[in-house]
Amino acid sequence: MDTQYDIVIVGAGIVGCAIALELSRYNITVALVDSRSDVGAVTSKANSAILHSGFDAPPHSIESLLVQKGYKRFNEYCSSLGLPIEKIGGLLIAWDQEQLQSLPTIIEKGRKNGQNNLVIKTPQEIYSVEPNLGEGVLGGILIPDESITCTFTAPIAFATTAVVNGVTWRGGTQVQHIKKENNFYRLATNNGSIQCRILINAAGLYSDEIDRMVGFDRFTVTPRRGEFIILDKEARSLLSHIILPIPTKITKGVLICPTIFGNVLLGPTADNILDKNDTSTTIEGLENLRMKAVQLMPKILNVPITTTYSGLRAATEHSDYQLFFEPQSSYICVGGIRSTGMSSSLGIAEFVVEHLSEFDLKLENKINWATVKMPNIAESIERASQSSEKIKGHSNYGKIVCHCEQVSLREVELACEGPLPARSLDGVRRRTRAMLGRCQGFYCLPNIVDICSHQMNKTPEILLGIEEKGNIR
Amino acid sequence: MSEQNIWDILIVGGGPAGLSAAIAASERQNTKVLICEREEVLGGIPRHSDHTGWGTRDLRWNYSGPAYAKKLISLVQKSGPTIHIGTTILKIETKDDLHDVHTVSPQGIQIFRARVVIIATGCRESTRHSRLLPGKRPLGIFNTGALQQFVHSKGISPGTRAVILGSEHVSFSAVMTLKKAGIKIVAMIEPDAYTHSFSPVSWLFQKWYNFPVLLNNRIVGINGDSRVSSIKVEDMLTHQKNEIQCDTLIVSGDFTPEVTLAINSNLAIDPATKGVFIDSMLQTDRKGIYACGNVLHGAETGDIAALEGRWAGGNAIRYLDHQMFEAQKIRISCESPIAWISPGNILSPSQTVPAFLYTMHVNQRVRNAVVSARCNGEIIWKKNYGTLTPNRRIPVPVRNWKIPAGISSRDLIHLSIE
Ligand SMILES: Cc1cc2nc3c(=O)[nH]c(=O)nc-3n(C[C@H](O)[C@H](O)[C@H](O)COP(=O)(O)OP(=O)(O)OC[C@H]3O[C@@H](n4cnc5c(N)ncnc54)[C@H](O)[C@@H]3O)c2cc1C
Ligand SMILES: Cc1cc2nc3c(=O)[nH]c(=O)nc-3n(C[C@H](O)[C@H](O)[C@H](O)COP(=O)(O)OP(=O)(O)OC[C@H]3O[C@@H](n4cnc5c(N)ncnc54)[C@H](O)[C@@H]3O)c2cc1C
Repeated sequence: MDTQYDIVIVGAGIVGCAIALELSRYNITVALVDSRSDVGAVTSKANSAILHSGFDAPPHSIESLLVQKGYKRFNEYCSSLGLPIEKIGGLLIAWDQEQLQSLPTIIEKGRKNGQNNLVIKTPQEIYSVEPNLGEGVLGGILIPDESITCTFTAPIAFATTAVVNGVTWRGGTQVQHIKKENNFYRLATNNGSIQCRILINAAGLYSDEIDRMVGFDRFTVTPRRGEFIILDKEARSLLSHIILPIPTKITKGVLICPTIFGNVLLGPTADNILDKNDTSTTIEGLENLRMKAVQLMPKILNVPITTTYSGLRAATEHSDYQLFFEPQSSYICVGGIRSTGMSSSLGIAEFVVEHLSEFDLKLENKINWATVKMPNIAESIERASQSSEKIKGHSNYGKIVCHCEQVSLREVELACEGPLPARSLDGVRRRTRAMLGRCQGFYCLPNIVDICSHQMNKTPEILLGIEEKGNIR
Repeated sequence: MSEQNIWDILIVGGGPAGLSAAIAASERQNTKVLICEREEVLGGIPRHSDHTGWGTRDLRWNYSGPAYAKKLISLVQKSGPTIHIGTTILKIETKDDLHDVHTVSPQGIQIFRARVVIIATGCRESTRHSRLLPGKRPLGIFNTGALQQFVHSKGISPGTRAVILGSEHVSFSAVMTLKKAGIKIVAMIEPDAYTHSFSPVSWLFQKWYNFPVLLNNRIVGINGDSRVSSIKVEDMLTHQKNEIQCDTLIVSGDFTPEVTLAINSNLAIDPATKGVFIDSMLQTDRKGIYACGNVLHGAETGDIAALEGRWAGGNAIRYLDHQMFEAQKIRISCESPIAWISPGNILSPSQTVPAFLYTMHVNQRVRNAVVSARCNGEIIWKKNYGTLTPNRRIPVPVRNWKIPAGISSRDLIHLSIE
């Protein structure tokens, strides 16, 4: 027999997870469905991890509204969910006359977006706080509220809280067909069929396809690839702000930004591609980033590179988010969340809940709703292996298994347990930082595979993807 | 901290260099020596490198890696230093010639105080990312170091069909491990026009193990979603691209010294070698802190690392006995294609140093290389080396240099190929 839910959310990116978190407050049955075996495993793990204040969104757009809302909620939830936030501020830099001329317009735009604390800065002021910037800064704007956070922890924190409060997590479940029958949807998946009364489409790059499966045809997602270079922790002392270029219509541009793990990020590029699955880095893209660094901050070129990756923005022919509420069809579409989805996710979730009042569904608050606090993996907050108290409580906190990122055995063990356990090496990586550092597994990989193999009760070969036939999306 | 709690010599790292330093240091009577190793066992890299070619210069015997590690460990145990395993050293802070060594272990967070610290933290191979190899990020991309741990220490065969990137000695070490694990070698890829290991070795291995070496080739793509499915290579002469089906990519060689501890302790790094800056006594830029082994520069063989360890251990004793005298450092600058010389300086007044100590590397192949050293324009040494190949140790007999009397740190020695 089919399992039946009041609401099914298709897509467990940060947006789907945030919606699941908000819906878990109510006495309804909800399932969070994703083709991947873990949450947050697609675009939501491969972005710049900046919590945008929304100063440069198109004024009066849904995006502007929801980024501001999301930013506020993220800050409110961070301590109860254990989400790290560093409010380091952004510095938008003008490198030529035209850009310099545009600064007042950006201040004005910020004001329209409810950001009244943007300040124009002179080159002297900028170099005094960022002495390592390349030559040729003509001026800039300080955006005090721009922050960095952990794009790995956030979706996991949202989904864990959702699951603990009764949401059903169905990983490894790809929605292939959707059929409306009387007053419910029947979703055909590779993993059995699922029924629901209300369907929420949060399928990111595939949100257009889900929208068509439901019977609409109103937008097409063209993946816009962004490549990144992450520099060694040596680079962290070279800058203190998020160094932003002047955004264009197409992209926010290549930025340099400290990461919450104490590294420095350079990127992203912006290239439209055809394949929604093509998260390759390219020779041209990586070279392009290095050329950009020559202008932005030449010193970082001497710092060793820790890793490279790319993420795909779900860009559409429209500039705004593709949010549609269809009470008649019992369907909600939250698609085309292009380049600010991490910041807006909680705003989107709240917006969805507000609009649910138009649907035929009664929302009653649960009595015992509670959030779950994630273990800290940010560099600026005490790590488990730095805490005498933690090690005294459990000596495996003092047993370092990933030396570059200082991850303890206990943290890896815990990542494999709990309400939303890691089921893969990538899952452990995103929950603990293990294998993410400068050696990329030279020292630690075999040992961690061994530990995970025991913890997850999977063979090392399966963890290493050897027995998997064909490639799963 | 009372006097009794002060270690005379604290050694960071239990590989060939650290163990050999401990053996040498323990020759001094009534000396408290401590080795801290972050892994659960001593031995360092050779533990997993299960083929012969270890120990010829220090122990004068051709051991397998694990046998070599075992032998060194037994020698250490005989000489009696204290050993803390599972203990990671995070940083060193120095006050009044005493060093506070910050550690974490299952026992908690502790600070050990020492008169001398010897850093022997080794090196690692550079990664796919640091080489900017483009493509996806599937599972199945390993360094030789990880491959050997999988196969030798964990009994896991981490793939079925492998491509090896690189042709250094260590790349052929990977060949042996892959064979042992029953993993088919599909190709070896080398961007240069020649292999970096000894040509007879490369020739024999290709014949024995039957795989092509694609010279002048570079990787332009890595495919696969969950696991590597193929590698795209480009012939840089013909610009022809080829796709090679495989599920494993071994990114071998191109070593990076493991200098995290040194950086966190504010010790100087040599920009040329990217290793810890040292003088010919293997002292770092801070009094009483020494460094030896692969943390100085990209990989030497284990026996050389061990000999360096003995030299550092011996010097640590001389330091404790106040036998070290103040000396000026005269910098040696290198002109490309010489990549670096290590140590990058000589001391004045000059001191006797072991013959193996000075090494240089070139960054491209040079035939009929005549290398000369000049001091203030005067040639002080010259040698015809024949062909020089990158990623290979080139000993430099600094003992034979005719150093002018009265040379000081204002002078400069310049090393170049004529
Ligand atoms: C280069 C780059 C930089 C960015 N920088 C920032 C930034 O600094 N700050 C910020 O706030 N935002 C940033 N973003 C944007 C942010 O990453 C995205 O907006 C956000 O991750 C989108 O989340 P999502 O949940 O909509 O999509 P996704 O994370 O893509 O999630 C969609 C999920 O749906 C699943 N799915 C798809 N089809 C199906 C199906 N048929 N059946 C089941 N499951 C399915 C997928 O597996 C996936 O898990 C950036 C994005 C990129 C690419
Ligand atoms: C795949 C491979 C094959 C090789 N094959 C050969 C061969 O056939 N013959 C040969 O002669 N040489 C070979 N070598 C080179 C040889 O491994 C090195 O020369 C030798 O291991 C260097 O010794 P070491 O003590 O400097 O470093 P390592 O052996 O790397 O030992 C360093 C030790 O320090 C520990 N450590 C590091 N940081 C810390 C810290 N912060 N706190 C505590 N402990 C720390 C590490 O855990 C490690 O045990 C090979 C190398 C590789 C990678």
